[in-house]
Amino acid sequence: MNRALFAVLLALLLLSAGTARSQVPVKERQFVYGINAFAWAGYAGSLSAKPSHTIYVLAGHRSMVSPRETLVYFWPITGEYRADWSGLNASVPGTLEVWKSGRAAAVLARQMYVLQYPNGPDSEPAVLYVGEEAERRYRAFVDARERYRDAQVRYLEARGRYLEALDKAVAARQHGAPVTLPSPPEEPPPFRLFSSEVHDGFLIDLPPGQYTIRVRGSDGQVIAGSQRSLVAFTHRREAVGFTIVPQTRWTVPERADEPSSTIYARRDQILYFQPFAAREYSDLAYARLANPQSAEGRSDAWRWEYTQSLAGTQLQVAGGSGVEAIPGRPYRVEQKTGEALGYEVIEPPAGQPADFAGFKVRVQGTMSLVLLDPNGRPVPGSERIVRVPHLRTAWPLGIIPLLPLTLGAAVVAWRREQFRHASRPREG
Amino acid sequence: MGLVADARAATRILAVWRTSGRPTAAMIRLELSSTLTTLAPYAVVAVAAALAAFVLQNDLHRVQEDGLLVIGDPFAVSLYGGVLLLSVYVAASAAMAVAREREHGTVELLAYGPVSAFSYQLAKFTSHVLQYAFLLVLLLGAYLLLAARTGLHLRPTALLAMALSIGPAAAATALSLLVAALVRRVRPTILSVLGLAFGAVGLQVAGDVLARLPAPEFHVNPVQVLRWAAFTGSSITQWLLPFGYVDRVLSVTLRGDLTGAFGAAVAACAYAVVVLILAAAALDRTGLRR
Repeated sequence: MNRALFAVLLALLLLSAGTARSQVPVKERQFVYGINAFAWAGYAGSLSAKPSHTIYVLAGHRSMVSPRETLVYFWPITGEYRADWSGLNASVPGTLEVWKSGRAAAVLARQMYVLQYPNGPDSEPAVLYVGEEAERRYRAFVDARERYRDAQVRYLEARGRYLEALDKAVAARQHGAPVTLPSPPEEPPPFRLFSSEVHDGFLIDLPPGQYTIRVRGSDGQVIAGSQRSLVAFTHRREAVGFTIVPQTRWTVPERADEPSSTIYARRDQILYFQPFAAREYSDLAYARLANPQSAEGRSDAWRWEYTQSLAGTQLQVAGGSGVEAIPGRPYRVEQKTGEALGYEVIEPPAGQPADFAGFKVRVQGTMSLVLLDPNGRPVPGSERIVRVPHLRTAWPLGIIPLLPLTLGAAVVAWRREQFRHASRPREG
Repeated sequence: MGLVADARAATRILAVWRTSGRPTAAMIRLELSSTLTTLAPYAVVAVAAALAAFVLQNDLHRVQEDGLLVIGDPFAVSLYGGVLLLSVYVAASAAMAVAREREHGTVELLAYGPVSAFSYQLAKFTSHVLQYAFLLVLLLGAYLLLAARTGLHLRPTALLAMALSIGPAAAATALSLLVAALVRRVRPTILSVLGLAFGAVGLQVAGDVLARLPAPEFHVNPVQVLRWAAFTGSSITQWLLPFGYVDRVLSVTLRGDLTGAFGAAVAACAYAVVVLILAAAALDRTGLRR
């Protein structure tokens, strides 16, 4: 009986497991906003579906929101709602109304747009083209891609002919005939430009503030479910941030973003400084900029975002040995061979590509650093102090906390002595 | 006429000083000499200094091993811990002093003299704030020695943060006096003060920890609920309890926002004054006598 019951339970368990595996997410047809928000690391694509969340954009920068109808489903692995664009991707006609403090701030018309990445997909910078420029740029991209494809075909044909001629030359040489080796064909330069297709949407470029957006359809009615809160936020502070690469640990760089931060290093340590223009944003707003559904980001925290590299300038180092202006140079990282594994940072030989560019600084006591602009003036917010701490001080640190305790013991002893002294005559 | 009015005013001030100022000053002196001649306050400073030594040793270890450490203020964490520890100690010490004197009936004797509930509470408050300032000087001495020994820089903002922390410490002392006035007995008073301190700090720490845990946004999730509860609780206690002022004053000062730092310190002082008046009123209502 028990065995039969166990078999039935096992069968039910297996069946339920099979059912769980074959579950497909339930998709719901919804009005959504497809968002391409400007961020310093490139445009961040995200979705604003139901339940609606505030959309965040960077004030003074161009972002796109695109009202669409699509199939939305919940993806439990990441805990987010996602769109099945391949199932349905219909544009919703109408105009976008932007409201601020109960007043209409702008009524935006739909525009065509395209995002292009000159250095390849997912690489900086990303460029947004809008209107006729978008269509022209997209056509130019398609033409350039076709030209590259043709050049690649021609190259492959030429390479085939070259290999054939090479084989013939080798065969002729084996027969003792005089041979002139053919020159190899030149490979076309790699095609890096990447472009999205041309889409339509609304260009958002707003001053800082809190807004409400909604779509009014061609029938003059506000489209149900299209209202969203939108926050255009800006930075709190600007400064120069540094990525610091220790020579002995170049794979794990440190960031010195906060202008008041101090850099502690070992004496004679070689550090490579890479400066970036940096801006400080609300942690919560920047996290939601990349994804309005994100549960990351804290409202009471701030984060530094690098906006551009400042490698083409000079770093002024003032220390015990005087003031020195260090130029930025390219550097190459080479893995050491043999048993002593590790890396070596060298200046790249001519013709070899560099891995990074930066300012090489050898730490010698307390030094103050400042980045100089092309006119030789200090860049505000780029000042940093490098200090060398006293290492190997384990035991004296343990003694210092005992000093207040010793003082306390002395005071207690003195007090007791006073008390004893005061009570003696009474005893006599 | 003016001269006569001035003379009358001066005479009145002198009379007030004789009747309640002098006893208050005497109580402050007595309280200070009794609290600072025990080992406990020095032990608390020693613990705060040991915490700083541990943190700094860890920083030195990182420089030794990694060759590099980028840090805003090496004393920031130690300062948070140290100031919080001293504030909680002084608050608990003030509450214990009042509760014990009420339980033993010492306050009843004072009530036969020219001592009002307000002057009594004011004396306890002032003596414990002065005690905090003295312990802060000791802690500063320990920090300076640690900074000199390690080569890790004690920034001027850290010194300013220490000075401004007197405001939140005064607020904590005033609150503990209010608790002592309301609760009467020693053990429940101490437990209440410690409960409020650790509750407020615990909520804040829990909120910080939970904020770092990933949680799905849309489905009901225990992390999400706990995070919301901790955040809501913390945002209330941040203003209602003085221990939130410690965090606010220190974080704003260490960031270099001097206007915000002075603002937070003034807010803490205003809190202290209001709560001290409430504490005196509570003591007056519940009675100096047993």
